Amino acid sequence: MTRAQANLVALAVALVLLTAAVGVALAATSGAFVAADSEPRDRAAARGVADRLVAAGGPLADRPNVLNASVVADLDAGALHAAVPATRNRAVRVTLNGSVVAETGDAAGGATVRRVVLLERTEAFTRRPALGQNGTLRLAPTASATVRLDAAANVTALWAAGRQVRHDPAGLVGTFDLALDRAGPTRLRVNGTGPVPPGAMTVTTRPWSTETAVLAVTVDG
Amino acid sequence: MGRAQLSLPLLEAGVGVLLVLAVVAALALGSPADAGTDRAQLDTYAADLGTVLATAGDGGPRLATALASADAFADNRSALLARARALAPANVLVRVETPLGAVGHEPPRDRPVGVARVPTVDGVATLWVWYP
Repeated sequence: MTRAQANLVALAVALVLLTAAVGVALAATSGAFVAADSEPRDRAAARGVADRLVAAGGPLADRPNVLNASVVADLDAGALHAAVPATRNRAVRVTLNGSVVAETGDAAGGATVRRVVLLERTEAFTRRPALGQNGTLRLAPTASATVRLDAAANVTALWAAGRQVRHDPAGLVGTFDLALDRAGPTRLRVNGTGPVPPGAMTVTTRPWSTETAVLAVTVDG
Repeated sequence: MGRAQLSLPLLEAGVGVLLVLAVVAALALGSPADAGTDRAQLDTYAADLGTVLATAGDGGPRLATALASADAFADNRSALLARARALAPANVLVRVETPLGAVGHEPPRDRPVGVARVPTVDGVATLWVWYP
């Protein structure tokens, strides 16, 4: 009966081999299991935060996918927490074209979602025109304009793009905010009892420039 | 009888080790997670490009300008493609298909491609984006 005794040694060796293989396999794949378990959560969180940041009603964007450059410049961890509560208790990093805008915690790994956005800068531009009695001023494209009129301006009505937007037969005096069509230039016309002398009227427009950018949101944990 | 008797437990153990290694290899090589992630990111890019082309940007909404008429499309097709390429990240290629024609190369068939359909008043535009 020597055969059965020899097989006992072989069985022991086989068990050791198989156990070692299983051990190596588990060590190699446990990383994949951990990643598969946590990455979808990170990815869903990153997608949610990014959606919020580029949404028109969100903390950064004026219109869908158009971010306000000055608001982006002011963004920090506290502002991010306040604007997007989902970033609390998570390590979140927001970058724009690769440079970090805001960071909460240390997002070393995790999942990243990238969005295509426009970064829009607006710069106030003020002019003090002298106009005739029914003079016209051509404004470069702007979403809004602020017109300040003194009593000396002799203006009773303001017209923008062919529509009367302000009217007071006793004379328009004060500061008036006009919402304009940003798609093209606007003709601003005054009606008055006399010409507008220099300095009696100021018009502030807010022309903008945009650049393309990639907003990346990384969430880890 | 110790002659050529092959040890059966060792043979079984060898088969078992091969089986375990096959599972490891399948996990390491065959995981489709990356392809799905790429596809989701490309879909996001396509949707963003569609939003910007349809609503905003310097020179106004490019899609509306280009889709106003056949002549407008002929005049604006290169501007539309240039705008889409400028918007897309550097490592992404773009194709825009509209009811009036298409600009950009054909997307590949063997790699993940993101797609977004953008409704406009002149019909539905389809954007394709992919990594080169």
